Amino acid sequence: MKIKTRSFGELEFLEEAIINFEEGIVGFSSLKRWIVIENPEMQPFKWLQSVDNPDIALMVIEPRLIRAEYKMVIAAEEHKKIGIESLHGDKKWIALCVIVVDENIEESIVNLKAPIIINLDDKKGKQVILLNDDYDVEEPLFSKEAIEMRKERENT
Amino acid sequence: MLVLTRKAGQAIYIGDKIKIKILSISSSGVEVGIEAPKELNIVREELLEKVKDLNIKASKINRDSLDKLKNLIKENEKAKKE
Repeated sequence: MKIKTRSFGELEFLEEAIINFEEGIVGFSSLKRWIVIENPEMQPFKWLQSVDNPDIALMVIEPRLIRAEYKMVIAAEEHKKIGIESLHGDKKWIALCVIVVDENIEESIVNLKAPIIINLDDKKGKQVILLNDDYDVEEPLFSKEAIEMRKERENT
Repeated sequence: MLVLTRKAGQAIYIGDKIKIKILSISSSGVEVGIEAPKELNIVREELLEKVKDLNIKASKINRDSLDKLKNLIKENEKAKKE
């Protein structure tokens, strides 16, 4: 399958790569089919590209890379919709968190409160809102330490 | 929309498993208690709106910011090697 995207030009991929979001993604309820794009140049970031609207792509990251101890408590009905009995079951899944890149890169934020969970075995996905109160919808993408280190490097 | 008037201490049922009770009413807000099956997802509307706004904002990433981010990644890689 081929689509012409705004961000990546022409993309060719297998139908099997398509992840079905029955309810779309919050704010994009009509966009049901997405693919995950990994670009070596952009590691550790990934992209969720809409198949239905080639102009729409979201930059995402695995939350464990931001918070090593990242934990998710999710309502059972949400589990059901993704086809995962529990996060500790047999199904393979990944969580991806949406990044809002700011013009001032260091001010960029990541939404750790509402991860997009993808059941990789059944190719089903959904953005869920965590029941646990550990994270905010707008968490800094870069830690203060990382920003300090960068400043030091620039000054030397 | 169904509109009901309730006083503090009064409750309504939605089906036989969901109970919504008005706990207290004051100038700062109405305190609502919800009893519902655990599998149901209960979300504050403004939180859902916020998630929606952020997703839409995220989809409008421009080339400029993306290039800056790419440079940052390259810098980090270089710093790691040094």
